[in-house]
Amino acid sequence: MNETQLIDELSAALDDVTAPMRLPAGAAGRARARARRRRVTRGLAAAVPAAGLAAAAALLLASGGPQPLLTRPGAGGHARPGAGAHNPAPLTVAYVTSQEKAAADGLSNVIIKTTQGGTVTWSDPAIRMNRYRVYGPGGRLASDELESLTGGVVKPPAATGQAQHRLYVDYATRTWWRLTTRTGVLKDTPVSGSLPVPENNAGGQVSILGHRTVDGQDTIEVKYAPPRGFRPTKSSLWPTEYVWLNATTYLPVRTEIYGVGPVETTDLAYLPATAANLAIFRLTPPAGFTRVAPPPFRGDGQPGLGQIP
Amino acid sequence: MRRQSRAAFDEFVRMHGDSLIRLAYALCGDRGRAEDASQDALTRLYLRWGRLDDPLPYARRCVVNAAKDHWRQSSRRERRELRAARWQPQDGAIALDDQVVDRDQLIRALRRLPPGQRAVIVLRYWQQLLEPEIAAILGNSVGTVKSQASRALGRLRAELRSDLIAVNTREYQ
Repeated sequence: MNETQLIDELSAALDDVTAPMRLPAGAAGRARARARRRRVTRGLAAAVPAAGLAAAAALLLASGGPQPLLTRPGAGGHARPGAGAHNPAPLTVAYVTSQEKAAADGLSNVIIKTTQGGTVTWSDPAIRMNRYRVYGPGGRLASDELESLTGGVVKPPAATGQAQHRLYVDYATRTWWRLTTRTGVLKDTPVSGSLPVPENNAGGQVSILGHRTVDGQDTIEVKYAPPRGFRPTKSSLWPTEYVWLNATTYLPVRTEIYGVGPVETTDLAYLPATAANLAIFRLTPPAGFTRVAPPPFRGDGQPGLGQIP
Repeated sequence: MRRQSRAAFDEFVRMHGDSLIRLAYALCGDRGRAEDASQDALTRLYLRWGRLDDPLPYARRCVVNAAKDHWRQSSRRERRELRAARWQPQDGAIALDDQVVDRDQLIRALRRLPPGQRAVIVLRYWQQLLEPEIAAILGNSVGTVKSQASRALGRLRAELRSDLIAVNTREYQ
């Protein structure tokens, strides 16, 4: 067997052995979900608690539910420089982004609540649990899911060999199921407790647009935009993202992503991890609902992406 | 991410997803790991989706890296077993020429190559990529790709010879 024959045989052997391989259904959706969660992950709760964070979280909590923005982003001229009298530091890009990162890194003992469209998520990195509620038309609860992650090695941003336990309640079909899977080495999978900060914006423009009032809170508006001269193409887009950081804690309270499609808005709240708030991580299927077998997808499937019946 | 961008991503996955998981499987030889590696790669790809002129090379690079990561994470025991199964060929013991080598032997021999050499072999001779394309995917120079390909082919032949010795030894015992 000469070299050409060896290469031909090898190529044929690889054709044979890989022929049955097919990408599992829903892989694109799972990739989007993971990417979305990773994109908003920079601050998996660190072990070091930030001083005064609990008080800050309580202050944020007091703000109540989401309200419409008082001003629209990007128009300029709405800024109120100097409105943050409690924060005399100049609002430079370096200062604000470093504060934002420090706030995310120092977050602990809180439950992060995010609302995006009809999906509300609660995450507690300390106990590695997530609760997802998806609301359909008319605000009716469509599904409710509890996810907990146990075991493995969690070293942000990697999570290795952990077990994922899911309890899923489907209100449309009045069914529920449980599923436990063991994940492999998933370097890109945030465990929980993600905070929304723009994904790698290297080369892009960051601007501090000044103070805004969001949900009654004084916030600092930060704009992440493509670099100057960037020309979007069909397959190459660069979203412009606005982040509103609480002017005291520098934790994000709202993000908006602008593009050709609908604006993607996410509201965030930080709930103290009290016994009452931790009750969100208990889920019991409603009486009268039927237990069914879990759908055939891998354990890394994310809720609300269509692969769940 | 916008709807248009999302649709383009979904279309890309529809068109190239199977070839990416086949590449992952060729590199790591394990169905579960191949699925994890391709899923990893798609996640990384989506994070960069808006900023890539040609997503396919980047997706391949992600698959190769993810497959390497999985290989590194494989248990020491697994690697010990692989090493134990490897025969050291003796000089001139049995020539590969004129020997029949079945495809299972080829795949086993490929699996025993170091990850970098295996990636070069798979990308060059199975995926039919050019050396500069492979260099870009692996983050190496073209010269390194050439030398790795040459070394990998040599080692592959040596591995196959080892298998033949093992088979012949068993047959004569």
